[in-house]
Amino acid sequence: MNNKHLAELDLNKLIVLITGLLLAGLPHWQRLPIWIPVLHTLLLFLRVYIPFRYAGFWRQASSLIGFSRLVIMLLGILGVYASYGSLAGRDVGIALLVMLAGLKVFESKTKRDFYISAYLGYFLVITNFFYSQTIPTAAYMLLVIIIMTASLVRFNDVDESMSIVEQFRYSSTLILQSLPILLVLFILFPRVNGPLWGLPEDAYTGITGIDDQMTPGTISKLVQSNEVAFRVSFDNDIPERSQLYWRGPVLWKTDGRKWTMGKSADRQRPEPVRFSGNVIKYDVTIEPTNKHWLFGLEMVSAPPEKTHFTQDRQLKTDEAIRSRKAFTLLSNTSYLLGADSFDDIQRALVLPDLYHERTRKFAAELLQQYQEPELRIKAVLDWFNKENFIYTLRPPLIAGDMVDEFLFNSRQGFCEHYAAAFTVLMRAMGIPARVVTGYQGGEINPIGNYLIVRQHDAHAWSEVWLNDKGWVRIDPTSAVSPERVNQGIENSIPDLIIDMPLDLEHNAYVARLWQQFRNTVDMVNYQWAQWVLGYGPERQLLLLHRLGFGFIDWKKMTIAMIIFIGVIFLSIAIFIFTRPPKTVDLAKQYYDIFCKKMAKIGIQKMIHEGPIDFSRRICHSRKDLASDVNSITDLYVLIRYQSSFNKLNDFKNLIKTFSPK
Amino acid sequence: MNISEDIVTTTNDVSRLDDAVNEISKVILGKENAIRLAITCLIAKGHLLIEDTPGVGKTTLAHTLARVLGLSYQRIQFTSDLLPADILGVSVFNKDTGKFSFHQGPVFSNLILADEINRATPRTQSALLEAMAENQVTIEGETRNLPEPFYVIATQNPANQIGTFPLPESQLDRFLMRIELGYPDSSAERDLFKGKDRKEMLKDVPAVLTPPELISFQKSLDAVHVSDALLNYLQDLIDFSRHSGNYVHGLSPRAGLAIINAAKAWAILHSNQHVLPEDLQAVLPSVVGHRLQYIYESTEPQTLKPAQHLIQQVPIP
Repeated sequence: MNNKHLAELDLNKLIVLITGLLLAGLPHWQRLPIWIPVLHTLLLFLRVYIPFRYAGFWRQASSLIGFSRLVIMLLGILGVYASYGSLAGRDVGIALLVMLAGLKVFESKTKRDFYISAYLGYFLVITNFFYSQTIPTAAYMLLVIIIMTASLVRFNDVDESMSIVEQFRYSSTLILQSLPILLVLFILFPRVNGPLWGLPEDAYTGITGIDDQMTPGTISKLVQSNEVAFRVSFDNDIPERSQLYWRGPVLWKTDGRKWTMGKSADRQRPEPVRFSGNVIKYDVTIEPTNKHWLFGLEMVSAPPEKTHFTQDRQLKTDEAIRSRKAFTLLSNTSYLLGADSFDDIQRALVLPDLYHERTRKFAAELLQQYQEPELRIKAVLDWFNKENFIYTLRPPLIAGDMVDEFLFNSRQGFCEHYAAAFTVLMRAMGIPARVVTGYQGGEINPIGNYLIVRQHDAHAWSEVWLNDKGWVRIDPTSAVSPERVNQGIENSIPDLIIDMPLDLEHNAYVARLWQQFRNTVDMVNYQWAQWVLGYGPERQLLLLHRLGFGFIDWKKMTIAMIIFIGVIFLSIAIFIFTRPPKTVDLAKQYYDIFCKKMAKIGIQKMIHEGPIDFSRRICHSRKDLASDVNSITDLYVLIRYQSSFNKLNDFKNLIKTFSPK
Repeated sequence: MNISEDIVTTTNDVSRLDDAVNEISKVILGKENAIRLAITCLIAKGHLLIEDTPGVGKTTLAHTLARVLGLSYQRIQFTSDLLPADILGVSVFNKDTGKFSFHQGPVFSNLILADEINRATPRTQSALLEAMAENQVTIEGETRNLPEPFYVIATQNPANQIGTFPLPESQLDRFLMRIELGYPDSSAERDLFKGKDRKEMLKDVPAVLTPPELISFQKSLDAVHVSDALLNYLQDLIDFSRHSGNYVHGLSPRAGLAIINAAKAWAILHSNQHVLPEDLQAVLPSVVGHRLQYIYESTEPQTLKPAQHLIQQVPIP
C-alpha cells in the first residue's frame, strides 16, 4: 500500500484497533456518564458500518463527515461540561479522552490518523491506573497493550502475509522483549518522594475509609466493603483480638444525629498517658485514604516521623496519605489516659438541648438507682445485654430522635448506634464520654504471618472519663455481641457473608480451602503492594544497597540506568548481527525438494536454469506432469519473486503430495 | 491498492506493446527477440545500440522503431568529418537583430537515430555523451535541456571493420543495451526476398504508441516487484563478474541498475508484475554484452560470449 489513505478495504485493519480501544475504555464505563460510552461505541461502530454499507458516500462526503465530527466534538465537550460542571480534573479528562478517541477513529482516513488513534489507545490504557493499581488491572491492561500493539503489527503488515494469530504472537513477542528494559527502568529510574506531578484533587474521591464524622449508616456502609484498610506485621506475637482496637478519629460533638470532632484539637499537646506492660512494635502499611489518620493500636506511645498526635491522641500524618505508606509504630495495650484540662472534660458532657428526652429520663432513673459511675456504666451495659438488643448490619430506618428511637423502640443497630447511644446515655448521667472510631480486630494471614485490617473491620466505641482512671475504653457493642470483639465481624453477623461465592458454612473443608486461597491472594497482593506499588525512594535505595550498589544518589542511578539499558541493547545487537544470515529461505527449501524429486525421475535442474525454464523443459518431455509442475512453479514464483509469503503453506502441501514416477 | 490499479492498466496496455512488436516484425522479419529487447530498452528509459555487420537491417530497425513509437526523430548519419556542432547546433550572427541566435542541432528531438556512430571521430562521438547521460547539452557555456523523452538509437559496425573509431568504454556505458541482429534464418530471408521494398514499407508503418503511453509504461516500472531472492541472484552475478578473474572489469553498480531496470521492463512486456530469473537472463546479454570483456589469458573456453558464460556459471539462489 503505497498511498496513505485508508479506504473501505482497510476495515479489517481497523477492527483490531477498535477492539483494543473498546477494551481499554471498558473499565472506565461504569465511572462515566452513560452517554459517553454509548457515543464512543457508536462512533467506532459507524466508522466500520458506513464505509461498509455506503462506500461511495463515505468517499465522497468527506466534507460532510468533517463537519459532523466538528459538531459532535463541540456537543460532546458541552455534554461533558454539563455532566461534570467543569472541564478540568481527572474524571473530566478521562471522559474527554474516551469521547475524543472514538471521534478520532471515526474520522480516521490516513495512516497518521490511525497511529494517533493507536497512541490514544495506549494513553487510555494508562489512565486506568488512576483508579486501580491491582494485579488483575495490570494483567488486563497488559492484555490491552498486546492488542493495541497487534493492531499496529496488523496495520503495517501491508501484504497481509500474517494470520491474526501470528500478529498477536508477534505483538506479544515485542512486549516480552521490552521486559528487560521495563525492569531496568522500574528498578533504576530515580524515585522522588511523593508523586512527581500533582494529581488533580478529585483523584482520590473514590476512596472509602473512616471519616471525621459519624451518622447512623456511615460505618455499616463501610463494613460492606471488603477493601483492605491497612496491613500490620508485628515484630513479635500478634496480640489478642480483643486488644486490637485501632484508634482513629475521636468524636466529641453531637447535634442529636451526627457526631463530629468539634473544635479542632490538631497540633496541641496530647493528653498525658502512663504506660505499663510490654511495648509492641509493629509496621502498619496503610492503603491510600487521602486523609491524615494513621491507625495505631491503642495506645501509641510516640508518633513516628512525619506524624503527630492530636490533643485526644489521634495519630495523624503531616501529609494526606495518597499512596500506600508504611510506618513503624510502638504501642502499649495497657495504659492510663489522662486529661489535659477540666474544660476538655466538660466538652464531653454537652448534649444538644431539645433532643433525647426519653434517654435523659432513663438516665435520671439510673442516676437514682446507682451511685458510683462504674456501677452506672455496668448497669447500662447489662441493660444492653439483657434487653432484646440486636446487633445487625441492616437496622430499620429510624425517624425522629435517633437515640430515643433506637434505645426504646427499634433496638436493632450496628456499632455506631450502640456507641452513639451509649455515649449520649453517659453524658445524660453526667459521665463525660466521647465516641472513638477506627477499626477493631483484623484477619490473620498465616501465609506471611501478618494482619489484614479491612474496611469491614471498621468500628466505633466509647471512652468515658472516670476520675481515678482517666479515659477508659468502653465498647458497648461487646455487651450486645461479644463475638464481634472476640471473634471478628465475620463471625458475629450472620447476614454478613463477605465475598463467599457459595454458602459454604456447612462445608468446612471447602471453607478452609477458600480461606487459604484468599490468604494466598492477599499475600501476593501484599508483596505487589510492597514491592511494585510501594517501590518508593526508600525501598529503591534499600534494594540497590542489597544489590551491592551502596547508597547512590539519583544522578548515579540515572547513569547506571543508561549503562544498563545500553548493555541490554548492545547484547541484543551483538546477538542479531553475529547470527549467521539466513541464506536459504523456506520456499527455496521446498523447491529444492521438488527438484530432487524431479532428479530422481531423470530430469535434472541446471544451476542457472530459472523455474519457468525448468518447468517448460519438464513439460516438454513429460506432458503427464504438466499441470502439477505448472501449479508448483506458479506458486514458487509467486512466493519467491512476488513475495507472497502467505502462500507458503499451500506450497508446502503441494510439494509434499507431489510424487512423480 | 495502487498496485492493483496498475496491474489493470498495464495488463490492458501490454497488448499495445505486442501490437508494436508485431508491426515492427512485419518489416524486420524473424527477429522478434531483438525487437522485444529494443522495446524493453526504451521502456527502461535507456539508449539503444544496435551493432552488426552492414546489411542485416540495423538502420531499418532503428527507423521502424522510431515510427512505431510515434516519436519525433532526427537522423544523423555519422561520418568521419562530422563535427560536434553538426549535432548540437550553433550560434549564428543575425544581421537584422545584430545578435547571435542559436540554431538547434538535430540533438533537440525526442529520438535521434545515430547511424553508424563509430564512423565519426571520438571528438564528435563525445558530443553525444552529455546529452545521453544528463538529458542536456552545454553549448558555448550555456546549458540547454533536451525534450522529454530523449532517446538515442545508434547503429554501429563491428569494431574490426575498416574506417571505424571504436566507442570508448565510457561512451558504451551510456547505452543501456547493445543488441545484435545477425543473419535471418532461411525462411525469414526467403520472405524478405519475396516481399516489398523495405524503404517503401517504412513509409507505411503506423505510429502504434503515443509518447504519453510510452511515459506511462516507464512509470509503471516502479510497480514491478523485485524480491529479495531476485536481488540475491543479481548480486551473485555481479560478484562473479568481479571476483572470478575471467573478466577485465567487473560489472559496475550502474550496470547492476541497468540490469534491474531492463529486467523490469522485460517483465512488463511479458505481462509479469514481478521479475523472474528468466527475465533477468533474457536481458542480461544485451545489457552487459558491451560492458564485459574476457581477460586475454582467461582459461575459460571462449566459445561463449562473456554474458552467456556469466549466466551459465552463476547458480540461481
